[in-house]
Amino acid sequence: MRAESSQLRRLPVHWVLLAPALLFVAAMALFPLGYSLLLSFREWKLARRSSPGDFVGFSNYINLLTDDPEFFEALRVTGVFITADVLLTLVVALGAALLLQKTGRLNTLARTMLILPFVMSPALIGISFRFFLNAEYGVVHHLIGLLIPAMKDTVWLADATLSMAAIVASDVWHWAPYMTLVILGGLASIPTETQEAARIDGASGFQVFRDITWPQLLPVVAVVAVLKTVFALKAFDTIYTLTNGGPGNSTKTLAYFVYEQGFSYYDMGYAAAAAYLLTAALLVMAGFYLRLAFAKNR
Amino acid sequence: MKRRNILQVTAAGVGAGIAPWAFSQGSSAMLKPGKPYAGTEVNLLTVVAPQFKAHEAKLAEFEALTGIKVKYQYVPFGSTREKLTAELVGASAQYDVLSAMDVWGPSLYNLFEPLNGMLAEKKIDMQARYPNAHLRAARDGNGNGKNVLGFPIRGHVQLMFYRKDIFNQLGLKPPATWNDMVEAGKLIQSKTNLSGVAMYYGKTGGQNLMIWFNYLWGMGADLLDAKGQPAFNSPAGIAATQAYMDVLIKHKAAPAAAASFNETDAVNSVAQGKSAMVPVWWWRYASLVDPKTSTLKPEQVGFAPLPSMPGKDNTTYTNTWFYGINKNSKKKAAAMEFLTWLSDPEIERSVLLDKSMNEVVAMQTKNLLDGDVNARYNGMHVYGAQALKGAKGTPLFAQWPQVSDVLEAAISELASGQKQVKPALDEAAAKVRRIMRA
Amino acid sequence: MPQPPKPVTNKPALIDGYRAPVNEQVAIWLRQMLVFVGISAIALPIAWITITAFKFPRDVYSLDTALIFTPTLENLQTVFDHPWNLGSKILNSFAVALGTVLLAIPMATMAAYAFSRFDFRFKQSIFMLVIASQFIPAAVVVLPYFLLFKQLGMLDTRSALVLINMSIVLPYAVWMMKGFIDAVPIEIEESAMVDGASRARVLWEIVVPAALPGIITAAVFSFTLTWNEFLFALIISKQDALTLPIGLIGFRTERGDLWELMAAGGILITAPMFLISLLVQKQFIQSLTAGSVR
Repeated sequence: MRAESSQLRRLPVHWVLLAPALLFVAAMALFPLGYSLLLSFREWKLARRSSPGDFVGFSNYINLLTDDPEFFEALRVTGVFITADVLLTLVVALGAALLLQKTGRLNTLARTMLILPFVMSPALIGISFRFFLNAEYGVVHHLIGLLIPAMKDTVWLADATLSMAAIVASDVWHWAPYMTLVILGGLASIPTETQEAARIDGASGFQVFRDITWPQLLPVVAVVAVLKTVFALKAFDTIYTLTNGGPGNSTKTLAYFVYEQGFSYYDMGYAAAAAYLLTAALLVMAGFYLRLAFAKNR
Repeated sequence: MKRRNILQVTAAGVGAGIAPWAFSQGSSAMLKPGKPYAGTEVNLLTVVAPQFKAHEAKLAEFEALTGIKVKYQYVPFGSTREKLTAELVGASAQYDVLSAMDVWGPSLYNLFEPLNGMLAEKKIDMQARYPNAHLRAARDGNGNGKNVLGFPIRGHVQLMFYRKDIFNQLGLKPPATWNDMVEAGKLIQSKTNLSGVAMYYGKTGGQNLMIWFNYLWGMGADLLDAKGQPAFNSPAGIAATQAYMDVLIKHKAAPAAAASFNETDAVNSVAQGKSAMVPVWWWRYASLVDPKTSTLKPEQVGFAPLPSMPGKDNTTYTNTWFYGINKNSKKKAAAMEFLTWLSDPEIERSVLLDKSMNEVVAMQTKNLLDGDVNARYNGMHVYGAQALKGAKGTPLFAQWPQVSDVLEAAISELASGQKQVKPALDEAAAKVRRIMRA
Repeated sequence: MPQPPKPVTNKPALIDGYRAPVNEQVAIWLRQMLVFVGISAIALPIAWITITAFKFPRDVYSLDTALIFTPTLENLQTVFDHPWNLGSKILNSFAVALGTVLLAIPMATMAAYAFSRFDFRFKQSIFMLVIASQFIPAAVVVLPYFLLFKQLGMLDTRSALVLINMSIVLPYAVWMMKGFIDAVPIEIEESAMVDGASRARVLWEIVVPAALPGIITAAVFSFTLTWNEFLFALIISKQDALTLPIGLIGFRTERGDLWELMAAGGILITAPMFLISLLVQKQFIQSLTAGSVR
């Protein structure tokens, strides 16, 4: 469909369009990428010096990978968290978007409310959920106790699995409604003629979705997936306020680990190394998703 | 001097509500005459606490005395460490006076200007003023150095708060040993619908270690041995930890929710009438008797020294904040004027006697032994002075924040029943060994 | 001339023959139930937080006083007083967020268009780098930024926060909008350009309206990210550039989390955001129900 657009593509105008954004991004954003990479090869214990210290080669990375069981624990926790968080968010957001596509009073009300959880501060959400789950006076704790008598006395935040469930739930609550809006926007940009035509030809709702809507929606869903993964990897405030990484270290994600290394243990070089390993993983993931995003433009 | 005599008479005679002029007369003698720093602005980094707000309310007097304008820049309590780290790295002198807490580790102490010279000039005798347990937290050299880096401004002693009415009803006396506490708890649970003692094993800023230390030291164990290696997993340490956890796990003398409680949850449990005891910092007294934050009346709230191990003395763990001068500040002399004024024992005393608050925090020996203060708080402060003599404070060494994290994670794991005591402590010891090596 | 847009409605299509009304009704009822559950899942926690804003602290920590309690307006008053000073923090947050969005969204739209419509060397790599800049956790870069702005003499200024937030927000905005622009068929632009329209006109008159839901989405997203950004604001500001998240986190005190004040602050913060998005929704819903591009 694009073969004949070579005329359009010859123009160097794209640099004019790209330049302001790219220059700014380069200046302000690649700076951290580059700086933290360099930092990860140096030793910087904040307590001992106020600027990065000697070049230590790969020793930060080596220590991380061979001498730090907590790093691997954080990796494991992060893996579980991301998988649950992103999958759940995608499923909920996609389902909700399809539900709320049509007009109707109830749908309009729902659509108006979708923005609310997203604009709430993550710290407030974390603290509120913590209160909701408190075993002595938490409303969610009691409601669940009513619905599932077996759970009447469970102390949610003293249980590793339930704590993980709690942080996933709070993050999904924060993001899924917003992602629903994004997907709704994507659905709106898809022309309806093909869908209507298929319907008239007798295709069921599901077939229309699978063959016509979904392929065109894929770029948007891919973007949602990547964004959500990135934010799940960076999620900190909610976890910090809800569980503090506990019980034990069972909800200490990599983002938490990095923060702690830097600001609690005052070892910035080490934190930068951990952050870079995280970045490398993300780049691999992003590359995979990118194939989807760019592929759809054939 | 005539002014000094009036001060003494007034202080001796009046009980509550010391008139503001009374202390300013005394402290003004220590300030440089002639307002040499008039017009300077001093920025103070601090957190919101009733004690500090009370100080802030008095700043007008200081400005009248010296012409120095002090601005209290409040920073969220949980974020103070980040701000201090930024200051450590950036040397921006955004703040002239900084506050630091001992639990954040002596790494931050590099920010502070040694005060010995200025203290000598002002003839302030820190050792006479402050109990050693607190002063130590404001020294360099991991608490043993020669330099004093600040004025201890907020520090605590632990107490056992309990429901006086329920104890009277059941004929119980405040527990003298940890066993007594468990027995009392079980009795209360059988006769009322309250839980026994609100312990707090949840993971929040090292809070679940604060009572644990008392068990540990009470059994004769310690955090590190003389060589700086972990000693908390010694047989005594394991026994101590087991006893600490058993309050919940074996004896169930604490509410089940205690496994995830932080300190505030535990205090609220008592304030809401759900638990009958809570071992916690003395300043929590205010939350327990204020009708806005508690359902209890003052006559229902009693306090006693922390229980001890059988046959041993009462212990307490202390925690200290101090105000010091930023090494990068350009206004050190003005800042020193401010700190001199603020640390006058009379200011602390007037806050203690202020009837509009229930502020119990007292740092200075003179105030701890003061008759009126003790009259108001039923001898809490004399006990405090006594306890501080033998008190151990936060361990002061660079790796403490990391060690604290490992330990509090272990305790919270034990509370959630994920592990047994010995394996958990051994694992923690391995981690601590690794940390101490670095 | 374009046809009038066909609204997509709930009415079943009767063209392809008779459908059992019961099935259809059950399906509709099920849909409505699900939507209702969704609304509750969002509304109930928010309602609970709102109620908390009107409680005294002692009523916050008990279920007995969950719904029956002595209400108070004190919390709403307290958050504006010293030392919380939420009022000035709200103003700062608005200024920073608005500035960020006004500067970042046009930039991002242009960049997204370029990524979407053009091929050029290293396009994929550059695109990746753009978003990769956000993979680094803020904790690692906040101190270098602190030092940078100290050198520039811009500490404790809102401009510094706008610059920082732009750098945070641009990658996401570009990524999101590329997806939306991708979904807009290129044929209309091509035919318009064949007819002689310049690229700029095409962008402004065809692509922007078609991708408007996406642009609005990205704008709201950017605004919210900036609105809730905490760590950079904490480190860079001292007294003039303090923003809302610092105010909110300030309610975590030594005494514990003062949920009643946080809730009061929280609803004061969420309410204007909600109103803004309501205004924006009108545009948004119009685009949704009007079908697609013509």
